[in-house]
Amino acid sequence: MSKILIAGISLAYLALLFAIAYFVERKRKHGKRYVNNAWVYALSLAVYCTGWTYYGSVGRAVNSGMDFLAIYLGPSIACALFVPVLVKIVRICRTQRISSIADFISTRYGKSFSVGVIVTLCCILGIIPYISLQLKAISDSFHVITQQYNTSGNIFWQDDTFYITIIITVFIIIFGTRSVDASERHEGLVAAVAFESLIKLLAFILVGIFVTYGLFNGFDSLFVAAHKNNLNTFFKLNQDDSYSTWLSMILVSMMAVMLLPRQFQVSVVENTNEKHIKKAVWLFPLYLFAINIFVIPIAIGGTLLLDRSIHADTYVLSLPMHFNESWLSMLVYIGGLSAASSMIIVETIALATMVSNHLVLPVLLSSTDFKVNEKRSATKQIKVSRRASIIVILLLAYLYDSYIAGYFSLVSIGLVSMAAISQLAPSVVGALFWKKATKKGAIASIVIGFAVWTYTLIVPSVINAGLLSQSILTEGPFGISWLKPQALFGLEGFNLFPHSLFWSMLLNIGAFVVVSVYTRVKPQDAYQANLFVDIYESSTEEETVWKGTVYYSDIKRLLANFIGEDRSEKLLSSYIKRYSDEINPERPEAHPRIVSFTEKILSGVIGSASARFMISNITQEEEINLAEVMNIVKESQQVLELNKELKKKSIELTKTTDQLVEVNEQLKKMDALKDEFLYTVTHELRTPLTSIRALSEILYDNQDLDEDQQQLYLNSIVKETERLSHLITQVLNLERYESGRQKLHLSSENINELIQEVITSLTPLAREKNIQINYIEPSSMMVLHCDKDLLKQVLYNLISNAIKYTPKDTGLINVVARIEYDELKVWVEDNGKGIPKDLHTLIFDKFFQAHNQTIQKPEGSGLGLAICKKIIEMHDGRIWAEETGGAGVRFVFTLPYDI
Amino acid sequence: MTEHKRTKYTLIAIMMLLLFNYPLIGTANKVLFIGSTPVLYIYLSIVWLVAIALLYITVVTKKNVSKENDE
Repeated sequence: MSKILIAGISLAYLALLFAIAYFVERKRKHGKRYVNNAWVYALSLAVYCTGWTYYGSVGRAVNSGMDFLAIYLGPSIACALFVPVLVKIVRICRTQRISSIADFISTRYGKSFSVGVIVTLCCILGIIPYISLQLKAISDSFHVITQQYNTSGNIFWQDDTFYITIIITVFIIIFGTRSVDASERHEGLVAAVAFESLIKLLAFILVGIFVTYGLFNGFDSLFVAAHKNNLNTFFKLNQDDSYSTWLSMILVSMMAVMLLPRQFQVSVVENTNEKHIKKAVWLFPLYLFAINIFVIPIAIGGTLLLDRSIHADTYVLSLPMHFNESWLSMLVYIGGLSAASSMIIVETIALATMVSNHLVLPVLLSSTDFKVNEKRSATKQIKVSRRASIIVILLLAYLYDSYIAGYFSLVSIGLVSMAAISQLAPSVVGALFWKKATKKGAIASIVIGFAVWTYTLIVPSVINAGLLSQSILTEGPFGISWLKPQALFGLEGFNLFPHSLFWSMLLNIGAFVVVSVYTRVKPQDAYQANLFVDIYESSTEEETVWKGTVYYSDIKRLLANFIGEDRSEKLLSSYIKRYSDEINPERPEAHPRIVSFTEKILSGVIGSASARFMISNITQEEEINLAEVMNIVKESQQVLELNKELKKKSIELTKTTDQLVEVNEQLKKMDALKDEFLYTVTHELRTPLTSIRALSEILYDNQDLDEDQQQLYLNSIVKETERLSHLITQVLNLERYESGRQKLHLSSENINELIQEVITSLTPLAREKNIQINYIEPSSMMVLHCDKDLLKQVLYNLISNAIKYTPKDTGLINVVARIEYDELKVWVEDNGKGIPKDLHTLIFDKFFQAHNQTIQKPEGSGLGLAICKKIIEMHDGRIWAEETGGAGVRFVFTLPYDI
Repeated sequence: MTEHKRTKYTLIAIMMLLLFNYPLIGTANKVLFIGSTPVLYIYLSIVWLVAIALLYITVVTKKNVSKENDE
C-alpha cells in the first residue's frame, strides 16, 4: 500500500483520538462525565496490552509455544488481588493526592526527595527501552504494510520513526499537561485509551477469525494441520528449566500490572470511583483471555502459509496482506498502532510527571531565583518542566531505538522492563502492610534490587552485544567465578530471567527487611506508615502533624503561586468555612490545619516531597518528635474508637427508648382496661343492690302489705342477693385463675358422665324456655385426666350461655364430644342469634362486654367466657368460637387426651 | 469491603497461582489431543474461564451477613 495513504490514515486515526479526547474534556466542563464509568475504567487497564504483545505474542508462540501466555496469566491472577491491594492504594492516593508510583513510595517513606529520585531513575532506565520498543512496533508495522523497508543509517529526518515520535509528542503535550495538578484526572485521555483498547481487541479477533475460519476450517483443522506438520511445540510450554521461567514470568507480570507507571496511572491516578475496580476484577482478565484466543491459530497459520523469511513478529499483519485482504490489513495496522500509541501516551505522561516532580522541580524550587515572593507564577514553570520532560523522554526513547536497540534482542525488552519495575514491589507491599518499614530500608531495597537486576539481566545482554568481554560471562569479572552474571554465587541451571529475578528479589527483600529492622523510625515515617497501613481505620478528616509558625498571607501566596489566585482563594476560604469552629480567620498566623491542607494541595501539583520542602521554606517549623507524632496518631484513632463507641451506645439507647415507649403504651392500655373493668363490675354490682334496696324500702315503709306481696318482694331480694354473690364469686375466681393461685385437682373422669350431669342440672332452665338439648354421645367411654369441678364449670357456662341466647320454643342446643387424634373435642352449638365473625376472638376477652355496654345492656357479667378460656388453658387445651353454617354459634374446646 | 470478601479474593488468587504453575500445569503440558484440540489449550482455557467466573460471582454476590463491618 502506498506510504502516503498509510501515513494519512495513521494521522486520521490519531486525529480521531484527538477528537475523542477533546470531546470528552469539553463535555466534562459541562458536567457530563463519560469516563466516570466502570467499563471505560476496565478498558483503560488494557493499556497493559502493548504493541509488543499485539505483534510479539505470535512471534513468541512460534519460538517457544504457549510460553507467551504467562504475561497474561500473571495479570489475571493479580486481578483477584485488586480488591485487597489496589483498592487500598487508590484510597491512600486519593486522600494524599498522590500522582505517580514514585510519589506513592516517597510519600510513604517520609516524603523524601531521595526516595522519589531513586524510584524515578529506576523507572526511566527500565521503561525508556520499553517505549522505544513501541515506537519500533509502529514503524515496523508501517514498513510491513507499505512494504518499504527502512534502510539503516538514515539521517533522522528521513526516518519515519522520528515523525511518528513527533506526532505522539504533540498529542501527549496537548492532552497530558492541560492541568497543572498532576493528581487531577485526564478524562479525555482515558477515553481515548479505552477506545484504543476496543480497537486493538477487535482488530486482533478479526484477524484471528480470518485465519481460523477463512484460511482454515476452524480450530480443529488448524490443529490437525499443525500436528501433521510436526508443529507440536505450539501446544506445549517450553519446560527446559522445570518451569522456572514460566513461574517467574507470571510473578513479574503480576507485579508489573499494578506497578508499571502506566498501569499505576490508569488504575490509580485516573480512577474516578473505587467501585469501578470491582468490574475490572473480572472484565480485565476476560479481555486478556479474549485477546489471546487466536494467538496460537495465527502462529500456526503464519508458519504453515507464509514464507520462512517473514519474521514471526509480523505474522498478524503479514497474513491478511499475503492474501490481499487490504481492509483487514489496514484494520490490523490500526490495531497495532492503537496498542503501541496508547502505551506510549500513558507511559510518557506518567514518567513525565515523575521526572518533573522528582527530578526537575526539586532543583528548580531550591534554586535561589524561585522564591515564593516572586510575582511570576510557578504554574507556567511546572507546565514547561512537564512538557520538557515529555519531550526528553520520547527523545531518549527515539535515540535508544535508533542507536542502541540494534545491539540487543528485542523480544525480551518488555520482560526486562517489567523485571525492573518489579524491584519496587517489596517497598510498595511494605508501604501498604508493614508499619516498621523505613525510608532507609526502602532505599536499600530498591537500590540493591535494581543493581542486581542490572548485573544479572543487562550485563549479559551488553556482553552478548559485544560491548563487554565475553570472559565475564564464562569466568566471572576479574576471574571471580562466583560473580558470573548468569550464575551468581554459583547458582547454575537456571535460565537468564528466573536466575535474575530470584537473586534480585531475594537480595531486594532481604535488604528491605534487615535495614528496616535495624534503622530508627523517623517521626514523619511513623506518621505516614500509620496513615498508609491503617487507611481504612483512619478518619476521613485530615489530621495535622505540624508544629510551628507561619503567616496565613504567606500560605495563601504560596498556594496562589502554584495553582492560581482564584483557585487558591476558593479552596482556602471553603476549607476555613468547613472548620470554622477551629480556625480563626482573624489571626495572622495560619492554623496548622490550613498548613497541612495547603501541603496536600501542593502535593498533587509538585509531589509530596517538593510540597513539604516548599512549606518548610516559608515556615519556622519546629522539630516534631516521635512521641508527639504517635500521640497524634493515637488521638485520632481514639477519637475514631470513641466515635464508634458513641454510635453503638446511641443505637442501644434508641432501642431501649423504643422498648420503653412500647411498654408504656401497653401499660396505658392496661390501665384503661382496668378502669373499664372496675366500671363494669361496680355497675353490675350496683344493679342488684339498687333493686334490693328499693324492695327492702318498700317492705319497710309498707308494713301492711299483704303476705303474698311481701313474699314476692322477699323472693326478689333473695334472687338479687344470689346474683350479687354470683358476680362476686366470678370476679374472685377469675382473679384467682389469672394470678395462678388456683391449683388443678386432677382426677380421672368419665367425660360422658360429666356432660350428662351438667345437662341434667340445666334441663329445668331449658324447659322454662322450651329449649331442646341434644347430647350426641360418643361411641366409647372416654376417661380424661382433669379437674372435675372446673371442667363442669366450663360446660355449665357454655350450655347456660347457649340457653340464654337461644329463642324460646324453637331453641335447639347440640352438645357433641368426640376424640380426634390425640385430643378430646367438645362443642356446644345453638341456633340463637349468633356472634359476628370479627368478634369471635374478642368474646373471650374478660372486658369484652365493657366495650359494648354503651350500646346495649349486658346480659351477663361478661366474665363467663373469660373464665372458660382460663380453665381450658390451665388444662393445656384450646377454646374458640366458630360459625355453624346456619344461625347460631358453635363453641369448641379441646383437651389433650392420652390414649 | 468485608474481611470475608478479601479472604475470598485472596483464595482465588492462590488457587489460580497453583493451577497455572508446576506441578499442576505439568499434568496438561503434553502433546496430547482431546478430539483434535491440544490438551494444554483446553486446560488453560477452562481454568482461566472458571477463575474469571469465580471472580465475577465474588464481585456480584452481596454479603448476606449484615453484622460484618463495611468500611
